[in-house]
Amino acid sequence: MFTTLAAGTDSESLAQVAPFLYLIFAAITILSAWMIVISQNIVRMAMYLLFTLGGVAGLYFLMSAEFLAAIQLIVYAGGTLILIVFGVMLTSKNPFIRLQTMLWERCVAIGLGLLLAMLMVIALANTPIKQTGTEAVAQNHDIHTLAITMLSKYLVPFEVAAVLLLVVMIGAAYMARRRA
Amino acid sequence: MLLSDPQWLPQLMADLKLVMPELWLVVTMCLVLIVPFIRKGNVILPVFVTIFGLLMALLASQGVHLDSIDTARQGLVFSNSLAIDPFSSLFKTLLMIFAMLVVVQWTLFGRDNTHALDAPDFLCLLLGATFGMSLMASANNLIMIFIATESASIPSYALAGFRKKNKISTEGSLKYVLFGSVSSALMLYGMSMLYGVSGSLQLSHIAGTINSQGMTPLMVVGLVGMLGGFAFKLSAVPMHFWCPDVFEGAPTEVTTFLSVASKGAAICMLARVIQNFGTIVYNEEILTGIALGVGALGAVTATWGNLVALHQSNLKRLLAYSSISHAGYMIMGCAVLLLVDPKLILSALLFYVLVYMFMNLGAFTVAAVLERHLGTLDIADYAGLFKKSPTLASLLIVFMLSLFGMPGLGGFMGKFLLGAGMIKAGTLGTVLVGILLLNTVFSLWYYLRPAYFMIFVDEQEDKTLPVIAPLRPAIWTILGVCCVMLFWTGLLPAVGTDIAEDNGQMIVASAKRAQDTNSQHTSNVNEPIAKADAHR
Amino acid sequence: MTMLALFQPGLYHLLAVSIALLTAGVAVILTKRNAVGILMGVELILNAAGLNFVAFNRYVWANAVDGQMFTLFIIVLAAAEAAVALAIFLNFYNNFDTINVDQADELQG
Repeated sequence: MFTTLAAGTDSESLAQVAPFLYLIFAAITILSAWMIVISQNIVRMAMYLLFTLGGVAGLYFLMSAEFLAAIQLIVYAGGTLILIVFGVMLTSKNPFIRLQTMLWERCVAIGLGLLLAMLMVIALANTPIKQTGTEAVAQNHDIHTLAITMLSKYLVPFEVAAVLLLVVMIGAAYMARRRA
Repeated sequence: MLLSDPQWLPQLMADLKLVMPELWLVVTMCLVLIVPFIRKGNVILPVFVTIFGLLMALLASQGVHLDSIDTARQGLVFSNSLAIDPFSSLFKTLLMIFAMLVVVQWTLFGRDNTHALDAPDFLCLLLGATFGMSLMASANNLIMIFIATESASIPSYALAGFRKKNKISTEGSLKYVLFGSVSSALMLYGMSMLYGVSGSLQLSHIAGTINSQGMTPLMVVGLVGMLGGFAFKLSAVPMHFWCPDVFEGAPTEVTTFLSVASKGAAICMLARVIQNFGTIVYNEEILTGIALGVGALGAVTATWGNLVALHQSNLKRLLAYSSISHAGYMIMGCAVLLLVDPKLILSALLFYVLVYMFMNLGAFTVAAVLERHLGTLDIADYAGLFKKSPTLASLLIVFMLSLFGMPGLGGFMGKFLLGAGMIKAGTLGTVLVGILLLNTVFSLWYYLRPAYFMIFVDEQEDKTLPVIAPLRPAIWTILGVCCVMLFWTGLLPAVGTDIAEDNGQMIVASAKRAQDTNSQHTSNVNEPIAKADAHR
Repeated sequence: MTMLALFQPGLYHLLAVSIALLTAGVAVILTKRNAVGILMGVELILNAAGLNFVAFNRYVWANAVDGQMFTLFIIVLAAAEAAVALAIFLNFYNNFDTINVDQADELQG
């Protein structure tokens, strides 16, 4: 369903459905992100993070970035998040460990966050940005273009990422293993 | 597209030749991991392989001069991802030498069994961090800056916590990784804003956007975010909290490595970003604004580092705060890069890194010896040390005086060249030089404190210092080399400054090229033609 | 129908979500005492940045795929960073029996 929508075979119907999808995904993303702030339970936080990541993947679908959406679901929600859940499991004796934070601390943090948001809104409002990307142009953002770009223009970052993953593997294995 | 172009293979080979240092590092990393399968528990073999690899990387980074580089391509390789210019090459040379010295230092200080078993891991992580840092020195677009910073940082987190059973080490690495990931996330957010404003990831094109649109608020937010990420790597003031904790907890070799190499690489990256803005942006007002912002960051960092260092009693923490203030001096140098002849500042920065490398290596080596043999890093415990081991104590005093900037030692020449460059930058430069001088005077107090305790305070009755066992000749060699280098660069600086001056050039892509890049996916489309013309 | 047209996704709709994610991330980092919790806040900010890149790529600079490429690298490096970070947390936990950052007070000054 998403692919047909995103591929825009019927752009008329997409335009009709897109607002609904946007509202749903945005609501999921924002609500669960703020639930992470409010929640006091680390396992619940991980659960809400899963919903946030899923919501962001949905927004990627909506922006015709299907490949990224798939990667977001597979690597981020499927890999990184599982890693975090394992971290939670291994580092808390009591699985329902509660994290007590003072009310005033939370208020200060939320206040600071809102200040940052206001700053960003002001910066955005005062910067003219011409929206020139049309649906037709965005059709070119398919996996073929991504592949060509990655292996030509961004060849070095791609290879460096590979080396980095090797080093990360060594580092994480060293840190986590026990040696008698 | 690159592949449909008949010249792609020769071009790829030509580009690969310029990244040989990094390729050697990767090969060495793999070899170091294979070596334990040949002889397990042997330290000498992996160390030998590492030093050989670093030596090859060192040799490969030689011989990059502007005239030897194809003028059509200007040393901007792989679609402008990396800039291989004299500046980055000299930095890479220094980085490789330094990494070799750190490997030697590490080999000398550990002698137990786990040390041997962990050797491949340590060396691989060290090589990985070196790899990231040498890419940081060349990174020329946002994606490269991000990836290079991460590949320098992530191995450093693991290195900082390398003593797994040590609580202080573990805690330092925890703080390091938390600070690092938060600051890199904020840096990414800033970068996304820069992309939103300019539509390109090329530094030169982002700078070009300022010319066409002016300094939009979104651009300011993006630049501040990115500077925040850099500030973490430089341990500049709002992001400096990790620095003393990591330096105290990490093994001394790692501390030495992080204090020089990581900050030097970050300075190179900052200098490259600023140089791009300085070359392309022609609005004086905006340039002064950027210089003011960066200069303020540097001034606050230097002053704060010195003020906190005044009441440190732990030698390693003292050196950590001293490294924060030295980073501040270098940031102040970067700030005026926009306003004066960049060659002056770039060569001064290179010379500063060269001198700073030997000062810090020496000081930390002495700290490691004292920690190992006396079991304490508290400066007050060193009372009467001068009588017991005069050579070691006077070496420490030499390194401290050089860090302070005593005339006749390398540290003075470093500060002098930096100040001489800064003074040319009008009022802002004069103010910055004033701050530099004031800070230098202040810093004398804490740099001389260890000397005061070692020479003038007598040993207490109840706390007698254990006798320092004779040190290995190799340790004396390292200390001697550092000491000789400091006197040499201080008394006869001409050789060092000549080398630095020859290499004080940085390549900046023109904004127009970057625009071509943006519309055509690859920047290399036009170049084979230019190359073919050159061959005819 | 006019209400729906208002929510036809455009650049600013996506940027609004991104800003909400950024604020949530900053708030998480500032309030949570648990190291894994702080890491979750970092992931939120990374997602906000990724959303920005894709949105700018889709609605403003659609002639290349630079933004999507950057997001791809963000996802890769987030995984790498999380792996090392969690290994360090685990090691810290083995030494201190807690990963509450408040307990990390051996070092002061």
